[in-house]
Amino acid sequence: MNRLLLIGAMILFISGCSGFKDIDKRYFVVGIGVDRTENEQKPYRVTLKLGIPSAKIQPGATNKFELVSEDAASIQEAVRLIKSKVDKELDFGHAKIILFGKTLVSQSIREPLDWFLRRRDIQLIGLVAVGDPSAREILNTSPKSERLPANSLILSLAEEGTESSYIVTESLSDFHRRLTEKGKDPYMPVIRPRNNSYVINQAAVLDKERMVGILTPDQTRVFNELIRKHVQFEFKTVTPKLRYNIAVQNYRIKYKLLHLHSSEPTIQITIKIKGEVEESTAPLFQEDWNKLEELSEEQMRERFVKVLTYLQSKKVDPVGFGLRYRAMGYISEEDWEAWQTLYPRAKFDVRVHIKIIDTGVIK
Amino acid sequence: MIRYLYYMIIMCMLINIMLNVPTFLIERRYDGAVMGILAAVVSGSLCAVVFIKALRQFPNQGLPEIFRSYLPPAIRVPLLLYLGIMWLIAGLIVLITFSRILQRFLDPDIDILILRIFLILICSFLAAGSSRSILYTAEIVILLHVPFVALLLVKALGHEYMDWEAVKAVGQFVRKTPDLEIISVASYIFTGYINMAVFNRFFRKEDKIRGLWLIPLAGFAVLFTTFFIPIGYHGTEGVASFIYVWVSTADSIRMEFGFVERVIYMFLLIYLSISLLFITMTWHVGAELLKDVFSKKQWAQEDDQRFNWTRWLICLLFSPTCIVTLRFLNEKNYLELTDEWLIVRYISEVALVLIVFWLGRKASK
Amino acid sequence: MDFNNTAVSTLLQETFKASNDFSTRHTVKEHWAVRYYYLTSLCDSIKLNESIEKPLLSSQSAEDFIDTLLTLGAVKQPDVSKLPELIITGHVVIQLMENVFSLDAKKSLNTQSQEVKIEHVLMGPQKALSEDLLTNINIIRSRYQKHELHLEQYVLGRSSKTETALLFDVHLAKPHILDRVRSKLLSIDVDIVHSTGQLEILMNNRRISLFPTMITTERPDRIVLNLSQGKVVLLLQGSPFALVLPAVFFDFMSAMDDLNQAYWISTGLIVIRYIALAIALTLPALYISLISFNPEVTRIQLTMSIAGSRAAVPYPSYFEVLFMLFLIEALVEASLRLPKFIGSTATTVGGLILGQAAQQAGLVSSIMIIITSAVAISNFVIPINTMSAAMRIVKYPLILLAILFGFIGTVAGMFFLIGYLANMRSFDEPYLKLFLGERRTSRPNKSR
Repeated sequence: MNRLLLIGAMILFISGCSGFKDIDKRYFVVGIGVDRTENEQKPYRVTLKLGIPSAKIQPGATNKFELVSEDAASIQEAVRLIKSKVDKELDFGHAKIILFGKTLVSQSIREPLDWFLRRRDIQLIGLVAVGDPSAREILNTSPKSERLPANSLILSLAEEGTESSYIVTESLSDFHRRLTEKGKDPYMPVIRPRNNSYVINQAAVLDKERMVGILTPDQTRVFNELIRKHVQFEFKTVTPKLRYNIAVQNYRIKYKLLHLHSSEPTIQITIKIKGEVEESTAPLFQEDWNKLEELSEEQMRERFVKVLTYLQSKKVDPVGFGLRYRAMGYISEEDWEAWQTLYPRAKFDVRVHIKIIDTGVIK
Repeated sequence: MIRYLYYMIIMCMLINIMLNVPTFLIERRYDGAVMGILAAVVSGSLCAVVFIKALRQFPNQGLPEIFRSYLPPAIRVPLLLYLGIMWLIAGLIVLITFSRILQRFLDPDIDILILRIFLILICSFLAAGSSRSILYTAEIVILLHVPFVALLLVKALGHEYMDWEAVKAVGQFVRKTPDLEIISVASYIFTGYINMAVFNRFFRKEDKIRGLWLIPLAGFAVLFTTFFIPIGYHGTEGVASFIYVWVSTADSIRMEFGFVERVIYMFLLIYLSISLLFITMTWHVGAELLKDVFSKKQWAQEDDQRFNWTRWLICLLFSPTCIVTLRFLNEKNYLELTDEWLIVRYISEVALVLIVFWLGRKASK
Repeated sequence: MDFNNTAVSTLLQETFKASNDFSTRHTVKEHWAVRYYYLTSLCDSIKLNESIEKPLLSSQSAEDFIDTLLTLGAVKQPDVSKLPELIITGHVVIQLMENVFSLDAKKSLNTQSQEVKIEHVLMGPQKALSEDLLTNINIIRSRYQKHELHLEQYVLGRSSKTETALLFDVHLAKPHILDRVRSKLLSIDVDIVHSTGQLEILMNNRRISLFPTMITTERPDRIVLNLSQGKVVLLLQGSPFALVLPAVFFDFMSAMDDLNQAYWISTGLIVIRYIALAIALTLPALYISLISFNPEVTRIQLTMSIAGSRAAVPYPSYFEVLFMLFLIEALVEASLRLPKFIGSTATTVGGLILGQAAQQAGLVSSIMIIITSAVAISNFVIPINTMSAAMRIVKYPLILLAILFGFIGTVAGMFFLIGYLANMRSFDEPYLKLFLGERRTSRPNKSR
């Protein structure tokens, strides 16, 4: 009796078993790019970077891939058209890199993003970025040192490999949060191709709909220091006498919203930095360190104020002052509307405290 | 023996995700969910303590035996029937929700009906086993998985993407008064003790109950994480856009140094075991209550057989009937139905606790 | 008197006329005569010499000889019909005038205890049980010197008449378990019993079973340890293995080495053993799930290299898995049957050459070779052979579930396995249960 039931169940299961598809019958999408076309009928150009697996892994030789593009009215349609072009099942499970073309981001990001969030197989830990000039061009690049298709992009964006203070990283999940959150605005790294490789040293800031500006590399670093708490960075201080660079191991940023009901609302930002001198044009050891610290603090302050006022002028708030405002208890709709007028006229009061720990190996 | 009580409670605390509790609470995050959580901690732990203490008056007796000796058959039979069906439904809801989640996130091409039949066969077979065995299974499964769940939570709380400002912003809504619905949904966390209805049979008089004060603490911690971690990850606004909010939260966490980088898979597989355990245990309790309605003689310790055909048939026949009925509902109707079930459950649970409390007073006199 | 004489001799001559090893000796001394019968194959000639021939020569009278015989353990046999039975069991039947005596002169083979063959330990006793029941009891009694150690003897098998000893510590063994064992032993009704494994199946009463509920062991130290934990031990004449019951899952996962090592070493080894068990059970199923259902679970770097190594394999993943697992099972089975000298050749040919060739021929992927060897190695980590054999079988249902449902099937299958084992009982003891903070009666306890 028991065994008959078991056999019956087995037959039932085998007949209903589906979803069995071997790894070699799948085409792994390692990167998705969405660009804007001129054609109004088919505004989206979807580019998929399909990885071609190789048995032995060698740098520069095994990062083979196939690039398939298609124009369509929606992303889903484009993907369907691409499916008819390839011989294996498309698998989006490894689509770690999601690129949006610069022109697309300058127009609207909300509509194309929906597909990525709705699909179950697009990972929320996927990394988003802006491709400049286009997403397709970035996907088409394959650096020499790469072992697997799109691997160098993953390594640099996920900070598994290089950790540079110029690279801001953004995951799909965080991007979605910032896109919907009241009081915290999205950003994305900008990737540009250069000689068969990439340069990632800029950040694009967005409002809730589209890109409003791109930061310069130097601004990007300051921006990165503001947004994240664990960046290692260095900065230079120029005085009439000498020039020296301080490398920062750890720093703390605190901000406070002050005088919210007065005519001059202030955002007070306190930055505490500990660092060591890594390069200098003249011996430093005998100098007055307090003086050096003061000089650096002044220059550091300017950098921060510049970026903050730039963001303010673009009416975006990637740092999350608005969310802090809400977290302080201003939760009603009226409060939120008040903030909309408050933020553009807020004053930034940046206070930097730098402590030089040592001057390196030499004096 | 007493440690098994805590496994039941932990199991229910973990399973809340599958019963749509976080999604419901997050939907109401601006209308009293925060206060509701605090109220649920009080109400839930109170119920738990009263129920467990009252059952101490009846060592080695389950609910059916207690009812048999104190209540007339006219009340006993419908009550047991109702309770048994409530228990079976609890397991069924998890089965249906989780099979849907599995289909969506793990294996989109699978025939969901076949998957459900498969899970029903496994759970009903184990539910037909002896009560003690189910407790042993619970211990092993819980102890195997809790470290991973803890790792996941610690990872989630300490992650860079966890936005405490959003948590604080939602926390500001603490002054909104909650309604009954919120409290009933949130108090589900504490429901684990109710399985003592049957398992009290194995708790002897000399077994000391210790650590009851842990229940409100653990319950609060669980409710806090279940409600605030998704908010910390998806923001105060974005969090409402997900249907299975915890699955999406797990997908947002990255294990940089884990063998499996995407936490969602670890999460789904851990919850697969926990869900199967939950289904097995609730079905066992439900079937055991129903079985007693039909049996003539009082249950005795040696009736704890290794395989009981009645129990097996109850589980096996009950679930397909319900699944066929549920085929007419879409996901939206179904999730609403789950919420309503949670509310009905809360009211029945409080009523049951009061009945047992009253019987306990009667017995002690 | 004479009548009696001829009756005995004709009866025995008649019964054993087809047995060439039946021997009759006749000695006449002055005015009394002795005649004795025995089977040369069963009786020990030295014993015969010592206990019959030498006393016979030195005895002055018949009475004198009878006294010597009785001192040496001879028993007077009034019932003639019992005599053939006695001769078969290795007794000498001695006929002295009107009296008939029987004397045990059985030749015991293999009384030497052997080297441990199956359950090796690094540090610890190196001798196993022998094939002789008395020797074994001797070994156990000398290691467990308590008068509470009780011994009951049974004879099993209509034809084999195997002597069986039931040993237990009367203060520690649970009476209800003893009663069940006794009644089961008495109810056994078969022709031949000659191995502990067979006895286990007979006592199980279940037609289909997979997991062992009794430990078969050859180690005296394990037997003694288990006796001290209140377990019951069964010994069989002619078998160098003992049967220990009840046995729970953890007993099968404990090696005697665990007692000989420092705490952290043995804990570490136990953890390794359980990890190995998990690998042996689930790795093939996980491989199928990963390859055929959810390749996105692993990192992209690993997925791409697996995809690359599988690119040449034309068949679905489960074909590859079953093919390799079949080969490795066949290899294990073959090296068991082969003589020792050829055994190592078989492993080399099978393991090294075949695996390499299969991968180059594009039949299996290189990852699969790793998985197969990992599974095979891990399986042998399980200390008790019967459990390791059971686990060898259990992985196949898991593979089937993985083919049908991928990761869902694998995890659900593992859950079912845990639930099923927890629902098993070994003589009313829960088979799989964690003994947190409870008195440990059924697994090695260091404090004792």
